[in-house]
Amino acid sequence: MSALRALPSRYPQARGALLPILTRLQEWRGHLTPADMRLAGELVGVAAADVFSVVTFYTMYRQRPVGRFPLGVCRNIACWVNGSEQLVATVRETLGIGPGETTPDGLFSLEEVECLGSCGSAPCLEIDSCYFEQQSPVSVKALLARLKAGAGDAAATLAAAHADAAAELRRARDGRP
Amino acid sequence: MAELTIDGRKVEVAAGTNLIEAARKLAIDIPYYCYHPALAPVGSCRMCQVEILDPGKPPRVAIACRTEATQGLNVSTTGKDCVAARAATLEFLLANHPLDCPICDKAGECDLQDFTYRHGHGAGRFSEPKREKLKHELIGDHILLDQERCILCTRCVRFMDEYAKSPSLVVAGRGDRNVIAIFPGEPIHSNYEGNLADICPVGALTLKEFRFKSRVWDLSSEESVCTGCDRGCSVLLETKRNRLLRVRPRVNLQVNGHFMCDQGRFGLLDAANPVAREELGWVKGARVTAAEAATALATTLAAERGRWLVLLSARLTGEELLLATAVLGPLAKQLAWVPTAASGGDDILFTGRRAPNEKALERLSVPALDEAAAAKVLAEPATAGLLCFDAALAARLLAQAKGKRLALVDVVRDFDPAAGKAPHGAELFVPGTLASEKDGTFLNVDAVLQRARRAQRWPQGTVAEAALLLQVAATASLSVAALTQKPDLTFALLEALGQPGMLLNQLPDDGVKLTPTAAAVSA
Amino acid sequence: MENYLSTEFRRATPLFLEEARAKGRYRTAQRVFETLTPEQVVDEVKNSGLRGRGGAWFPTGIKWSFMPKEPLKGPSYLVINADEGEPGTFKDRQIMEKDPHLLLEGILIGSFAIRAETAFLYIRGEYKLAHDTLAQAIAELEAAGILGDAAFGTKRKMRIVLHRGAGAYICGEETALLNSLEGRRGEPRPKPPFPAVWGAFGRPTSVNNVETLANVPAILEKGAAWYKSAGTAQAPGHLLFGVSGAVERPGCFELPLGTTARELVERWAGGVKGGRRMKAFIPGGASTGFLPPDRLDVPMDPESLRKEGTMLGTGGIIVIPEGVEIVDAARVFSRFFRHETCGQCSPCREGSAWSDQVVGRFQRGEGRTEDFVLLDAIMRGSKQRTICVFPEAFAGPLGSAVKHFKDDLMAVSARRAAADAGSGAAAHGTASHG
Repeated sequence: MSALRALPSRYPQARGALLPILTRLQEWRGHLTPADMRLAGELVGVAAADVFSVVTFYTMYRQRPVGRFPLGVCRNIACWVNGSEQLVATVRETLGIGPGETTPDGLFSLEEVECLGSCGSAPCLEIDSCYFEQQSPVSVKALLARLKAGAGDAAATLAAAHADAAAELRRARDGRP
Repeated sequence: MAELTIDGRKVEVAAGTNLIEAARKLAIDIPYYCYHPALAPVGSCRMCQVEILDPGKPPRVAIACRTEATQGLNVSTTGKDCVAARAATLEFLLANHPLDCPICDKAGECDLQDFTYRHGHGAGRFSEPKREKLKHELIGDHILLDQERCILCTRCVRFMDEYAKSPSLVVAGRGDRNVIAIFPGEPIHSNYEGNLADICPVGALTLKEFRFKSRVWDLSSEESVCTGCDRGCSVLLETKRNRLLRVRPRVNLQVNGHFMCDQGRFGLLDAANPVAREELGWVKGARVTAAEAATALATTLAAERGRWLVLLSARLTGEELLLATAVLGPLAKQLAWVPTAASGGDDILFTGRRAPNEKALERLSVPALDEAAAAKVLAEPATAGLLCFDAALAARLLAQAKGKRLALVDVVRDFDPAAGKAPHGAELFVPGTLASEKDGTFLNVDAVLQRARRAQRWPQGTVAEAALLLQVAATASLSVAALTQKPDLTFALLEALGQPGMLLNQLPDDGVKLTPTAAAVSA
Repeated sequence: MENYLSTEFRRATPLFLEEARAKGRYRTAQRVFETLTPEQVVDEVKNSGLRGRGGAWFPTGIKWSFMPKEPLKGPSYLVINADEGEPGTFKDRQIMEKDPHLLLEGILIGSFAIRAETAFLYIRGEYKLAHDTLAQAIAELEAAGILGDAAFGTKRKMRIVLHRGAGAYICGEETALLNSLEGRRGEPRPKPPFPAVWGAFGRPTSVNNVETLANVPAILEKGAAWYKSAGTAQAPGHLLFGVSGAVERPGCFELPLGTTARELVERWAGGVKGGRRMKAFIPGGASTGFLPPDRLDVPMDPESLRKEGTMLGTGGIIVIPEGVEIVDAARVFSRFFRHETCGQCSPCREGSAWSDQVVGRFQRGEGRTEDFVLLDAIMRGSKQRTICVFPEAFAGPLGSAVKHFKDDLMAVSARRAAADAGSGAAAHGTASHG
């Protein structure tokens, strides 16, 4: 909380801290509640309705709970040409959920997202902005299994899976940018 | 100053004037939605598109609201590019607009209807499924929101923020998911909510009090003055078959700008159609005609000269007050008025003093008494009774000075004659009239005198206050020739207020600001 | 000219400060701070012909020359646009993830040139890795006293504020970015006033792209004449081109401006994947629209692509292979633009959604010839009729699909209508409909 209070002074006007504060508040629960929005408004001197207006503008802010591992599959052009629809289908086959849905155990949710900037290593699946690039149905199935197995410590499991995926990407691309 | 040309005609405006206002001076109406003279311009609706004609270059389409008039600027509102641009904007706005005209209160005064008729190209080509959003949702005490009808001009958002200082409306979402919204569970609470229905160019924000009551073209509209407080906002009183159905502000840059408060808007609406109004008079416990009661009152005052405390009311017009001082002054034991305390006023329009004509009483030098002092005078043995023009005040004073006689002239509602008692136990009761039923003037807190035009007919047989006062004068053989010989009572009033005389129908639409009196200057 | 942007891109880990300084980084910035005037820096950058690499190609030196000179009446700001969101574009990310100090040194020199003591680095919310890398690099500079109250030991203050967005493509538009930085909805602002007059928090501001600033240290180190030795006369220097889509080796390639699209696709990216033929290619990111394969010899520079009726944009080539229908690719874009329009202006808000619905109908086999007139009317009614150039962006793929592939669109629609009628079920390939 004290970290939040320190943010407004980094900006010439307190309001500049609104997005960083909302982003941090969302990390707590995975989504933003009306109370979160009121708190953010108080911290930067902005009316709650105004905060609500800002929250609803940005794609990364959610007002509903998501899975512990919120999956985002890029659906834009390079990923689409390289099989992003197969990745969505794989998630549907493996977990039984489609875009906008969450698994009953609350572990996974799925969204289709727009260009992530991974076009050269398409298709891309992201989880909390950790990129899993050059994915295939096989690699996605393996990733989902690994995440499910380690869901007890989601943050550590995700970090480890991400590190391995990055290493695999390097290997597959021979380090090419 | 800058001189520019619009559609071939020259006009001179102050530097920095936008093209919408510059064109308005030439009576050229550039259509607009998001622009509003009382709010900061945003330039998002793209309705006000005109062409800037730079010599040697092709015409450039620009939005008039954010283009400043500069010396030598040459503007066209009729060039084919801007005509096409405006028609395109309308086609875009109509694409997802619901076909609600048959059930929409805004029909007949809707800027989308009107601009489409004048500026649209006549053939919408949208044939996809229309977007569905929230409809007829109450978002405050008075306003219903229809998100489908909304064209996202954001006037409402900016009005609540910039003018009403209560930023409760926002745009939520992004792109074609944009809607006007409140913070979940936090409806609007503002004394200026009613203005939203006026500034919304379409039927997205409407008043629940007016919903389905009437088509606007069936309304009779009269220019009047709000009597909710002594700001005296200029208003339009809109009636149908003698029922006041709607009150809206008129633009008056020297009084209220473009808006009015809810206390006035809805207060007038409540006051103007009194349920169970007593239309007859009362004399000594018997119900009689108003004329009979008037006669009885005139006779009593003449016979009991010098024995009645007379308290005038700031609900009366200036002309009635002038007549009252001339007629009742000589007849009363004491003539005075009781100022109301201000409560709940804000820094915007509402003064908190719920009495429209106090300034007239002050400037006519009618002595002021506070309520306690008035009660004391009433309680004196030599005082026979109270002649009062305000029922609520009379009731409070009679409670403190029991047994005194009451002569009451006011509008009394929720009255049950079957109960057998005169209103407030008055010995003499003459039914009064509403401000909306009279022609007359009110003097506001800033000394602006404005005309209220009669918008409703009073009940058959009513003896209105002015006629009553003349009858009292005649019965008491008092001459009021000094007043009645003037061209009209308004003329006499202005002179009595130390101003050059003017007839009632010579008063300008936005009123006349009185010069300060010597007393006011030295105060 | 040797590469100067991508030298570190094949590293396993980012180039952090100690190693960067050993390679000579920050020597140029130090020399600038200690010995040059802002005017000298602006002149050098002007003479170099450096143009903004965010897609607009506006001359950077000229943009910097709009900023206030002494005596300053208050702070000026540099804002770095790291909101890379144009589909097909992934180059700024490479710089930030692999060579953050290349960008940071450019930021220091750019701030010096415009007399800014604070730079706001606005990075898209999704680029978490790049953000964390930059955060570490900035902390290194603060610890080393390069950022702080006495930058490089001079009397100048210098501070970089790292700021994450929250997911909105439109925030790549410089005035929308400023609104977002200020904690508002990322809606573009009407211009005038321009950011050099009224920018971040009401102060004069220059907004510059990541790659643009990454060019600056080399220009100040080696000089304008050196810089002009590569590229074209009107667009000198190297560009970080992207090639993606259906190619064998998609990736990011540093090459001189003016390199042809064919060379990029065939020589550097290994040609169309699986030996297939090309259906169409997009030259510079989604907004630049489709070109037929016979245009592949176009030199990739702003002027040549403008002659082709399109733009260089961000230089991110996307290859669409045979077997993919243009209508489906067009739908990917129309759906994207509909999702990303901020919604302020009536023509764009309605036009982007309407055109997406029309493209959707073509996908489902419900296309009509009058729809081409309609789409043309939608584009003409919104281009140059709004606060920003978003309509020009959504009209890129839409207009080019109609211009180059009209018969294709009608044929596919007719075929799908027949297939639906015949089978009673959707018989389409890799398309998303509805």
